[in-house]
Amino acid sequence: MNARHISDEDLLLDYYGEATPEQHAEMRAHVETCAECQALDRELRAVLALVDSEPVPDAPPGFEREMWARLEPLVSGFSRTNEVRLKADTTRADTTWSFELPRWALAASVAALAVGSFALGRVWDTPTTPARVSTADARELGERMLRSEVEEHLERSQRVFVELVNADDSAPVLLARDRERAADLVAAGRLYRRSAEEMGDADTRDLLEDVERVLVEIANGPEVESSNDLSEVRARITDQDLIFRLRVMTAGMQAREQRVRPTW
Amino acid sequence: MHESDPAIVARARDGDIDAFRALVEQHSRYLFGVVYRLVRNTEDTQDIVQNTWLKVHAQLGRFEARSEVRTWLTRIAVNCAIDYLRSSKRREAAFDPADLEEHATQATAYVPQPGAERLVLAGEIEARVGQTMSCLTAIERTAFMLRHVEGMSISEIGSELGLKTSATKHCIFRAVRKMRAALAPFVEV
Repeated sequence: MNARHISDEDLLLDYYGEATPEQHAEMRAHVETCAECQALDRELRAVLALVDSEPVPDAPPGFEREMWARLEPLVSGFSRTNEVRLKADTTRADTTWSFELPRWALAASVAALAVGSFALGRVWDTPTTPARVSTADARELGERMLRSEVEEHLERSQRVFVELVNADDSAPVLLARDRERAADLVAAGRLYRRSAEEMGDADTRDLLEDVERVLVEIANGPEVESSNDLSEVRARITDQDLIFRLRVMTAGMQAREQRVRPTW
Repeated sequence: MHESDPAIVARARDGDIDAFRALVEQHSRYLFGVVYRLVRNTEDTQDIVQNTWLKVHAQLGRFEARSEVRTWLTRIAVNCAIDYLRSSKRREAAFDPADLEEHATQATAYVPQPGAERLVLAGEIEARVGQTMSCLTAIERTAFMLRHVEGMSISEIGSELGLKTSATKHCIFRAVRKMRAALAPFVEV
């Protein structure tokens, strides 16, 4: 190394303490006597010092509290569910995803209304149509109802996934009742997915499709008593970042709803 | 007496929701900084920190008491950020060295300045650093930030990112080369 100049790569490794003690000693000895390598070494250190000077924005005020407010419904729900499960109480009708009516029944009517009004708007919404305002209103109303239902559907699906991913290994995980609920979500999700497709909302359609695949696995899977048996489903949820994507999608829907909500 | 982080994690693992809340309130701000450096967008950072905590909650049972809680949290946060970057179209934001070279040649050589001018220059440098960091590919930026800011070793970074050591080194080398090209006008040697 004494005979040759030191490469910038070796100097960088030395800077980060990644060189062996022997390499370090050899490089330092060379740098002491070589003006060219000395200059390179100084330049490298100066650049890295400039990188350190970049300020990173601080989190917004109250970020910790806001974060907890976002998390609490998710992790508290999980804890409560786990407590119930650990007590082997199988009467879980009052947990977060109990339904009085099958979701698909409501989904069907909302989807029909939304797609119907969308189609109505497409057919009738021409420049010469006198009823233009009312068909546009009908379409908007239908779309908003659908968005609201889809948002709720996504939140329910998210809760299912969070419960599965967070499930305690020692607790019974997937019982017949859970599979029935997953099946109900599948049925409703299919209707919403078709409606989203009709309305040209590709992002929602794609997400619903990914969610549906996992829900189908849960709905059609065997009743399992250990979360270890769910490793494939859990991996799928994690690999596809489904929980994160669901949260991003619902947050976007909520933000949009806030923007369009009338102020009266 | 102040309770140690591992003790809080142990309580959280046993289902103590207040203990988990304590972790969230104690470390969220730090995690924001870690994630922001990688994704460079405040809103995405907030979502990723939330996702990080969900994963932390799911993995409480895997925490080893001899580890540093903050290191463990950092790793989970970094993985969440990497997953996000991989799934985001932004990860493909192409770096065009020509753009950077062009900007670099337009910049004037660094000369120590007094007072206000110096502040302006400091602002320019910060802006250039930010611009260059944003131009790095996701993998270059992540590898570089983990080495430079988080102080992780190259082999640790490689295992986190699923890269061989040599590939990790080259990511860092490329990142530093780009930084040098962009910041050369500001460096007085």
